[in-house]
Amino acid sequence: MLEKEIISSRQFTIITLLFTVGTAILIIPSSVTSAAKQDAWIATIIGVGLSLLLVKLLVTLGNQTPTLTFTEANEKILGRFFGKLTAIGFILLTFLATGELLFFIGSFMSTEVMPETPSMAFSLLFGIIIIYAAFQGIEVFARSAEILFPVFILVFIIFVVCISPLINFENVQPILETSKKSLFISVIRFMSICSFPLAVLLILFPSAVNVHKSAQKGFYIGTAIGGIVLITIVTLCILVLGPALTSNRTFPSYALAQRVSIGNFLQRVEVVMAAMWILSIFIKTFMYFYASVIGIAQICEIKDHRPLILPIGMTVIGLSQIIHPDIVHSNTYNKEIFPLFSGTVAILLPIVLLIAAKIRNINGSQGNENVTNCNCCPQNASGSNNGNASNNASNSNSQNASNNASDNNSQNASNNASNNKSQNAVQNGSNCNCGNASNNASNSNSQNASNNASDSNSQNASNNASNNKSQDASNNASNSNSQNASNNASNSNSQNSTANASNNNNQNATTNASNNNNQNATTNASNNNNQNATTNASNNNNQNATTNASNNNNQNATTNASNNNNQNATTNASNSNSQNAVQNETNSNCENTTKGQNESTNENPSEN
Amino acid sequence: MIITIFIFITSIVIAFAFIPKLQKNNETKTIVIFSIFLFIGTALNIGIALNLKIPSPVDLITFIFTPIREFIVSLSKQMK
Repeated sequence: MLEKEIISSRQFTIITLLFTVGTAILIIPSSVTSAAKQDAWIATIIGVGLSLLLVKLLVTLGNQTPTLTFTEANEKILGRFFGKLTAIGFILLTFLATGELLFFIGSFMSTEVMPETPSMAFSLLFGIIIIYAAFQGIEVFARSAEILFPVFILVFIIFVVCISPLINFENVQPILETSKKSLFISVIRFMSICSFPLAVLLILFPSAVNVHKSAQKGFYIGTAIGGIVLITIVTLCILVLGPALTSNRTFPSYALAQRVSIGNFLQRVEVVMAAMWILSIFIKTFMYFYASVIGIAQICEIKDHRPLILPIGMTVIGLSQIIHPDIVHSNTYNKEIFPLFSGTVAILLPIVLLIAAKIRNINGSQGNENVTNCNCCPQNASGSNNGNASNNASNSNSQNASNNASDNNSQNASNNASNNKSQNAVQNGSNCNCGNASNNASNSNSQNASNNASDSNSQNASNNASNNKSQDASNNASNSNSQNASNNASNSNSQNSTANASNNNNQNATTNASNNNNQNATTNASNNNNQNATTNASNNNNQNATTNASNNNNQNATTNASNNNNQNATTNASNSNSQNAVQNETNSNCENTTKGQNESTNENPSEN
Repeated sequence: MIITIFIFITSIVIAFAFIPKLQKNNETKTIVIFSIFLFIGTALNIGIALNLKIPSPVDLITFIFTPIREFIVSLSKQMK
């Protein structure tokens, strides 16, 4: 089984940026200008604006299934058969696009740079780079994108500065002369190449990015900056070359780079400039190829995609030779058919998925006023052999939502009981052999949220009980063979949050009990064979923070008990074979900080 | 001809590099998918080396989407 590869949100932003620029930087100016003439730059700006809307759609879809890739999400949302069908459609797009991009790089190099060399040579060499990158994995690729990004930006800035003396403003006049229809056509052509394929990034976006929130921002920022780069290129092409020449050339931005001449001395720097689009095409081709490989592996339910890279790579290199017999065929396809094809996969499919997800999972989470018995919406989606039970009992003004989703042999039980102005949300998601139990009981003005997510053989129990103005949040996430128990009990004005995250063979027990004005935060994170027990008990005006993080074979026990005006912070971090026991007991006005860090085979009992 | 033999040898090398390891792990499904793609890839590349005329898969996409495109074009004409 392969380790899950994670990239940072910054790397994701850079990939999004270069992916948006991609092939568009080479071929967009001619196809946009041929329809909208000198107003193509307006079309490009509209296109970038609409791309951001599209990103909004993709982000919303990604948030529906935060742990799954796009192909898995298809299956999850649309069911096994239809999900596979739509996933195959998606793979077809990425697969053909990989071949097409290899064709582009081959035809670009053999028409503009090295006319004597057959285009097969370039496609083969570029294909080998892509295959090698795919073998290294997405993490290595993301780091290389991070390194290549400054080169890209540097070359781009030099390019813009060098070409700006040649600007002739008469080329854009008259402004706004084109009809709405041709403007619309060029917007569609622009979006079909640079922003419709952004759906491919859903392979990475929710599941392989470390910080979800900032990656979401990065998705917008990357698209926006990439769009600005494209707007600049298209505008410069029109300003320098003029609309007629731009639409006649196959690769106008290359022709633009040929014009660079500084004092009749520095000339013919276009191959240096070509580094810019070779970089961006590399990023885009890799993403297409990676999406195809991952997608094919996931459709066929293969755990390790690596063995498939070479055969698929070989097919793709062959495909690049037959996909377009000549550049005319490619131009007609890109102008007439590709917008429809990619539009179907990148706009229609996410919308359908989103609607289906709304209908199946989140349907009607809004409560009604003054319904005495039950304004509940329990949903049970189960594959086989489950016992699901959802009880919502509410008296007034409450919102209760319980979702039980289980695939196999699980027992889910959710109880929401609320008396007054409360919001209870319980989500139980389990795949295999689990017992999940969430109890939310609140009396007034409280928000309780319990999430139990478990993959196999786990027992999760979350109890939120609050009497007054409290916010309770308990998260139990476990992957296998674990027992998680979180209890939040608060009487008034308290914020309790408890998170248990465990991967393997754990026992986590966290208890937050507070009477008055407290903030309790307890985090148990363990990877392997642990027993974690954390208890926060406080009576008055306290801040308790307890973190147990352990990697291997540990027993952690932390107890914070305080009576008055305290700040307690306890951190147990251990890597292997250790036993940690920390007790903080304070009576008044103290600050206790205890840290136990064990590297191996320790026993640390410390008492304050 | 030499290119054909070269492609053939390459695919055999790829097959021998991966299949024994997969067989040891009992991943039959992976071997099947692996072999299918390796076969397609080899056949495709040999076909290209022999200058055979292979229809482009894009033509299939074009065939599917042409009626939709014509429908949209006719719609836009009506709107005018």
